[in-house]
Amino acid sequence: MNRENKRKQYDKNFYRTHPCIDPFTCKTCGRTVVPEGAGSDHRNHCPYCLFSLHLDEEPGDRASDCHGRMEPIGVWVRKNGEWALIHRCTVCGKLDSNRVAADDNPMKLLALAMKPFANPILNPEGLKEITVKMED
Amino acid sequence: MEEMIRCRTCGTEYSGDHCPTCLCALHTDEDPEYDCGGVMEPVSVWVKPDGAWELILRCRSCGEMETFPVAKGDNPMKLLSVASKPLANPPFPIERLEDIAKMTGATGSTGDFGGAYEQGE
Repeated sequence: MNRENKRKQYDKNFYRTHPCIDPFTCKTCGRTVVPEGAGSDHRNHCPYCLFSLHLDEEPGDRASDCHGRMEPIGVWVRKNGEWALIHRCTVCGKLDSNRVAADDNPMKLLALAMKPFANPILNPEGLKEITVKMED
Repeated sequence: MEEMIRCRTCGTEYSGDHCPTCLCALHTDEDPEYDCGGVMEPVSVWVKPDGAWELILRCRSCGEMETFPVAKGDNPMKLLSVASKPLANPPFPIERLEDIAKMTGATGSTGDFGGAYEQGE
């Protein structure tokens, strides 16, 4: 008899100790995402559009009532040199950090890292001014 | 007169929510449960929908993340350094990005600088 289904239903903290193995449909891009291929047991975001959902307060507790879409706003480098995505909830603004998965869209990841440099704050004149001041 | 805070990382005296020199801040919160008092260090920069840069700071003690608007006196070189960290440590060979993207079925291309090199001559 499979008691795993019963535990899933009644144990509030089931996902704190068990990886979620159900495929899901991305709420943003509508693609079906399967757990295989992430290189980890804990797939957190859609590998195509990198969006996530605000389900947890602490990893795996499924305690959030917000259920907003989490938008990827940036990447950062962890101590061990691997990248982590920074998600921001479009509803409540909560920030969260998550490891990148093996099959995450590399183009989208690099575009996130490039975003600050594609911004008019970094205008060539301003950078030239700084460089000239440094040479003085 | 605003209260001056001495930065715990670099010793600069500053007023405001983060140190303009090393961009670190102290982790304070109105809710005492989250007020851990640890040092928050800059991990990344993001561009708000209105086009402004915001620093993303992460607490060394509890790992909580918070965003701070970039202030006027912030060190521009430190800002650039924080923003380019991911580019300097890519998780995949960056020069083979298009091949990797093709393998995974992703679209998009890295393109080029659109002749910007020639214009500089």
